[in-house]
Amino acid sequence: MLTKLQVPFLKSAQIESSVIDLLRRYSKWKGSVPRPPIDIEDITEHHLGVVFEIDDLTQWLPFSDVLGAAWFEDNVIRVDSSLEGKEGRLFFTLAHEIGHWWLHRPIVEMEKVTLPLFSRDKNAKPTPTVVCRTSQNKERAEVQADLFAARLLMPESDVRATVKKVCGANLPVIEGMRKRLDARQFDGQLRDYAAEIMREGNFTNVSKEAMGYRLVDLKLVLDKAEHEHQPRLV
Amino acid sequence: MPETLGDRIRKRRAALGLTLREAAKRMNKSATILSRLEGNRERTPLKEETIRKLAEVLEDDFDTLMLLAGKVPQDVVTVMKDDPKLPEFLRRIGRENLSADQLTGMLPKKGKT
Repeated sequence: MLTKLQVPFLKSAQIESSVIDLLRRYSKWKGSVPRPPIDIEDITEHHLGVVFEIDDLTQWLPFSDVLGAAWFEDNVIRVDSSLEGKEGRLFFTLAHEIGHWWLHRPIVEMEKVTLPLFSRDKNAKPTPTVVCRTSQNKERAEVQADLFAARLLMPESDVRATVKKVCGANLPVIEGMRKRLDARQFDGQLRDYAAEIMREGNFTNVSKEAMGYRLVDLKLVLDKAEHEHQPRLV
Repeated sequence: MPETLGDRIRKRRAALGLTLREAAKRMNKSATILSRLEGNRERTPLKEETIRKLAEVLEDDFDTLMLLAGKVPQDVVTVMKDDPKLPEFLRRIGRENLSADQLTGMLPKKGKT
């Protein structure tokens, strides 16, 4: 039976420190500081020892809108084969599942200790612990995993360093960007800016959309209206 | 539990530090196919040339991979076809529990007549 993943509220800073913790451990294991493109496959399979599979998830689950799922008990993450060839989305989905693994698996493990009934019957068919459906992407656990994925694949320090190299002290200002993003329209100028940052910073395994939202999140691109109304130091 | 072809591929890939996609790329196959092979879920029978490529990419023994895939190499099939008594001979080897090493020891050493 699929159960909904109930997770506590996490502050943005808590998610950030979880990402830094994972990257630090990976860096120590690898013997070098990870630089973009962050090798999420290596982190998944070789550092965390999680089995990564690409398969038609409709054969595993009774839904048609699943891009990724995690089977905590079986130590497997599966990403839908429809994402093969779409590198940015494939790696973001994998990083998203790793977000569940890193942030939410300890919670599930703890529940298993306190709720022995949660354990799977020895003969029962394996069921995923987390199923990430596009129709449920606003749920708390999904939002947290998305934030984790964005920060893991596009570490703040690397993004900032690249923006500084490309733009110097003058951040780009885009007119009407916020309005278009609120209407779920990805801004053309933002796309071009994201592409430039990806090229310069070697962020080859993320999509332009993901990088665009990361730049907005880090306030490394400004909306003209917000820019004009920003309080100025005197 | 006996080792499956999928177990073997995954183990060799990990030993070489290859990611799923990197290994698939070197094999000129999709990552989905390689993933299904590792999970022993690929329904399409493997071609000998695919197993040869697998052995090359994974730096593994071709014959071992062939046997794990439940296949007999074509050159061995040819040898067996040339001598119709060979299948029964192989069955007898199985019944008498003789190993390849024991049989090899019975063959004349190279260079001797």
